[in-house]
Amino acid sequence: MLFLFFCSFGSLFAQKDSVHVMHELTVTAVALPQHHNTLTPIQTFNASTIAAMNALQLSDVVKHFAGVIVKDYGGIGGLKTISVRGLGPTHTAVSYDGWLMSDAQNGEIDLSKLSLNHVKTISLSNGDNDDELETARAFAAAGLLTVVTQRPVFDSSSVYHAQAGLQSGSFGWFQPSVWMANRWSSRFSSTLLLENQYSNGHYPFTLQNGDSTQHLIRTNSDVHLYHAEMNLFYLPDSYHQWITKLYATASARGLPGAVIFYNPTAAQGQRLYDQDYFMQTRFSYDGLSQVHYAFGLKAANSYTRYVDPYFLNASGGIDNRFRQQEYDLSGVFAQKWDSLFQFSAATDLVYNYLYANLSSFPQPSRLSVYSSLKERLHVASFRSEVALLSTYINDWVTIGVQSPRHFRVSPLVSMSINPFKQIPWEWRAFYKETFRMPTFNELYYTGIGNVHLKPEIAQQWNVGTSYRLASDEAFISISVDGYYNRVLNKIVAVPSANLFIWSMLNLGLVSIHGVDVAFQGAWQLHRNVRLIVDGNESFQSALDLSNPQLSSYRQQIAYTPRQSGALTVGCLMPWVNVSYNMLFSDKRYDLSHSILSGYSDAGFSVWHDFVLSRVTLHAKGEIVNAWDTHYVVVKNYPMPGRSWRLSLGVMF
Amino acid sequence: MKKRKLLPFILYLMVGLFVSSCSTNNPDVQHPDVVPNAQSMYVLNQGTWNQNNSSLTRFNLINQTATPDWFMLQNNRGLGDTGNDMAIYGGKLYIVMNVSSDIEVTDLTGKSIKQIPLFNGSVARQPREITFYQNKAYVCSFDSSVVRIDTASLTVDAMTKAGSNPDGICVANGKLYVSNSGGLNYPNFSNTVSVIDLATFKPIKTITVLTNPFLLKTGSDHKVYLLSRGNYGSITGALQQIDPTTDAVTMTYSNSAAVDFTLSGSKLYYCNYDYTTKQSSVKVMDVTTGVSTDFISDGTTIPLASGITVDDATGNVYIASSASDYVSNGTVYCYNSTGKKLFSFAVGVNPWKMVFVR
Repeated sequence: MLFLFFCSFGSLFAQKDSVHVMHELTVTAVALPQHHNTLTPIQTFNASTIAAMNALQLSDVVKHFAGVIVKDYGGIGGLKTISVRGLGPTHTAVSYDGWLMSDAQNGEIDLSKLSLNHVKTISLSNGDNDDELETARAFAAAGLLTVVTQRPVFDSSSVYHAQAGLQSGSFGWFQPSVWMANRWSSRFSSTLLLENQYSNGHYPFTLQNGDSTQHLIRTNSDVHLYHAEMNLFYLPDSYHQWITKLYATASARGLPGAVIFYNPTAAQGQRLYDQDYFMQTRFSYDGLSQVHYAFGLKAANSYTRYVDPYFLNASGGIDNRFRQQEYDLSGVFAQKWDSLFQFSAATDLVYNYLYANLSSFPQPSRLSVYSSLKERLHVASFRSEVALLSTYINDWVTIGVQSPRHFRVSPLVSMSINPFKQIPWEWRAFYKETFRMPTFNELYYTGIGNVHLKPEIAQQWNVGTSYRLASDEAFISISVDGYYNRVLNKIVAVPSANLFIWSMLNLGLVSIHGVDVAFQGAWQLHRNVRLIVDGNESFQSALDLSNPQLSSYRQQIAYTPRQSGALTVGCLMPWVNVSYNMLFSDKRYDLSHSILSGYSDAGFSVWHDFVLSRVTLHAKGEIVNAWDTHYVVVKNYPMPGRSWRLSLGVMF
Repeated sequence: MKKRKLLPFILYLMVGLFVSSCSTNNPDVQHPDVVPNAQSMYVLNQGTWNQNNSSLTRFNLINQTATPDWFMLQNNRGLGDTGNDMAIYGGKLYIVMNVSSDIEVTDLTGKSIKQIPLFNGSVARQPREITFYQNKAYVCSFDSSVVRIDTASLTVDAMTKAGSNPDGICVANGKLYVSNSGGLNYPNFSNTVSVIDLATFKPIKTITVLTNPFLLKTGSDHKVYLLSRGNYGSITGALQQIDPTTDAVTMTYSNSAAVDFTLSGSKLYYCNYDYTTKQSSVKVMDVTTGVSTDFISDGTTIPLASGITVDDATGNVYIASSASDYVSNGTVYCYNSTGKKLFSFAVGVNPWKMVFVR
C-alpha cells in the first residue's frame, strides 16, 4: 500500500500551482458546532465554547464530554487520564494535530502535559470519526480524542500575527506565552508558540477523618513546564498541504502523593522530570478529484526521571530513569468510486523502544503494523461504513522472553439514516471491536511484568439519535446514544508467584451499559447578544464480572459514577462575555468498594476583547470552583478548592 | 500521579508490608496452666496501601458477632494507613501503623489513649513490629531504628539501630532479636538477625540466617523461632529455630515456607498460600521433631490464608484470609484444636494480626 502512496507522490508535485488559497473560515451569526451528520457519535468543542469553560488545561475541557471520566489526581501537575464509556484510559488515543501522542510504557496519555494554548477544537469520537484521511493507528483506538490547534489565517495585506498572553492566579499560577504567525511567501507560513507554566501548587484542602476536619495545604505539588512548538505550513494550492510540527516540552513537578493520615510527609521529596520532543510531518491532498491521500512521519523521544530520596533502601533513595523512542510512518489513501461508494486504505508502521535503568530490565522494542480498509456507502439519507483493521505486533527484548507476536483483525460496522426528509432527525448505530496491546510496563517491568499477557479487547455497540435544528437565530442539537460495551481479558494486577511480587494477569471482564445525552444550543437573543448552552448527562452501569467469588462481583467498577454531567452556559455580548460552567458526579466506589461522595464543581468567567484598530486586547477573569467544594476524584488526592485566574492578552 | 510509572514498582515493594507478622506473644508472661477465656478478639485489617483504610474488627466471642471499623466507632477517626502489628500488654492495646508511621495505644475497649508518632525529623520511620519486656515496648522500623517506649509514660526513651529494613522482633534470654529483611532492596535481600542487649540497649552481634528473614517469636521453650521468606526465586523460605543461649541457628525446618506462624506450647501452626495453584494450606508442626501434618481435618479450605493465631484458652485456631483481589473484605475462619471448622466471620481488607481480650 505504501508503494501506492509513493507512486502518487510524483504526480502530486506536478500538479501544484502557485495560487495560494486558504480554507476560509465562515463566520456566521451563530457559530455552528462542527457536528455534521455522523455515522458514530462525535462531540466537538470549538474555541468559543472552550473559552466559556474555565479551562486551564486540556483535561478541563475533556471533563465536559458526555460519557467521559477524567481520573484527576488533583492540582495542575496531577496525573489526568481519560476513560471513555468505562473502557479505561488505555483504550482512548489522543491525536494532536493529526498524529497520536503515545506512551508505550504506560499506554495512557497524561492530559496534564497538554496545553490549551491556541487549541482550536477538541473532539471526542467513538467508533470512527469522519476524517476520510484518518490514520490506521487512530482508527485502532476504541475512543479518539482529537486536538486541533489554531492555524494562521492571513488576509491579503498581513504577513504576520502575534499574540502575547499572561495568565496568573491562585497557588502561584503564572503562565506567560507568546504566539507568532508569519507568512513568508504565498505558499509558506509558520507559527511559533513559546509558553511557560509555573505553579507552587500550595492549595488548601480539607482532610476528613471520621468526624474531625482538618484544613491543610497541599505540599510538594509544584509544576514548572516549558513548552515550545513550531508549525511549518507549505500550502502550494488549496488542496495540497505539507505541515510539519516541531514540539518540545520539559517539566519538573513534585508528586504530592496520597494524603496519609498522621503522616504529612509521606511523599516528600518525590519528583518527576519529563522531557518530550517530537517532530511530525504530513503531506496531504484533499481536493476535488476522486483520489485523496496523505502520508507522513513522526519521530518522538521522551525522557522521564522519578526520584524519591527518602525511600528506605540501602542506596538511600530511588532514581529511576526511562527513555522512550517512537517512529511512526503513516499513509492514507481514499478514493470515491462513484457518487455512492468511497473506499479508503491506511497503514501505519510504528516502532517503539523503552530504556529503563532498572536492574535486569529487558529494554523492549516493538514494531506495530496497523492497516485499515474502509468502505463507505452514501445513498440519499442512508450512510454506512464497513471497516477492517489488521494489527500485527512484534516485540524484541534484550533479556528473557518477549511477548509472542500478535496478529488480529478487528471490525467496524456502522450506519446512519435520516428517515424523515423534512425533519433533521438522524439515527445511527455501530459496532466496533478494538484491542490494545499490553504496555511495556505490563509486559516487562522488572519483577511485575508478565510477557504472556493477551491483548485487552474492547467491544462497543451503540445506537443513537440526534436532532438538529439550525436557523439564522438559533441552533439546537440534541443527541442521545445508548451503548453496551465489554472489556475482555482486562489486565489487572494481582499477586503472583508470591505475595511480594505482583504481576499482571488477564483476569477481568467488565460489562458496561450506558446512555449519553448531549445538548448544544445557541441563540441570537438580540442583535449582538448570543447565548450558548452546552450540556450533557451520562448514565453508566459498569459492572465487574471478573470473579463471582469476590465482593466486587457485579459491583460498579472503581471511580465510575452511575451518573455524571456537565453544563456550560455562556452569554456573549458586545460589552462583555460571561459564562457559568459546572461539572457534577454521583458517588463512586474506591478500589476497596468504599463510597466516595459525589460532587459538583462550578465556576464563572468574564471576558472581553477590546478591538483597537489593528490591536486586540483580551482580558479574562475566572473563578474556579466558585462554591469552594472540597472533593476528590481519586481517593486521598484532594482537588483544589476555590481559586481565581486573570488572563491578559494582546493580539496584532 | 505520574508515579504510576513507578507505582507498580513501589506497590510490590510496599506489598511486602502485607506480609506482616503477628508480634511475639508477651514474653514477660509465662503461659499459666489455665488461660482465662477471651470475651472478644480484635482483628487488625491492614487495608490497601495509600488508602487510609486500615481498620479494626471486633469480634464478640460470646454471641459471635463481628463489628467492623471498631476503632472508628470508638474514636471517630480512622486508624490510618497499613496497620502491620498489634499486641496487648499491661492492659493496653498497641497498634503499629506502618505508612502512617505511628503507634496507636488504646485501652482494651479500643479507645485511644495516645498516638506515638515515629519520625526521624520529617522522614517516616515506618514501624513494622512490636514486642514487650519489663514495662517497655520495643518497635522496629523500616529505617533500621529500634525504639524503646516506656509503657507507663508512652514516650520513646531510647533508640538503637538494627540492620536493613527490620521486619520482626522478639525478646529471649534478656536479649532483643531483630530480623533484617532488606526487603526494600529487592532483589538484594539481607540475611541477618541483629541481637541487641536489653540492659545496654546496644547491638552485640548479628546471626546469619536464611535470606529475607521476617517474623520472630519466642516459644514457651524459650527458643526463638524465625521465618525467612527467601528471595521468591531460587532460594525458598523456611522456619528456623535459634537457641538464645548460644545465638546459633539450631534447626532449619524443611518444607516450611509460610506466610505466618504462631506458637502454642510445643506446637507451631503455620499457614501458606501457593500463588501458582491458588491453594492455601495450614500445618501444625512439632518443633522438636520438625514433623508437619495438615491441620484442617474436615475437608474445608481457606481461600487465601494470610494470618494465623491460636486461642490458648480453647485451643481454637483462627486463620485470616484476604480476598483474592486484595482490595475487598477478607474473612477469619475458626477451627477447633482437631482441625474442624467451627465458624467464620467477615472482617476488613487484608486481615492479619489477631489478639484476644481476656
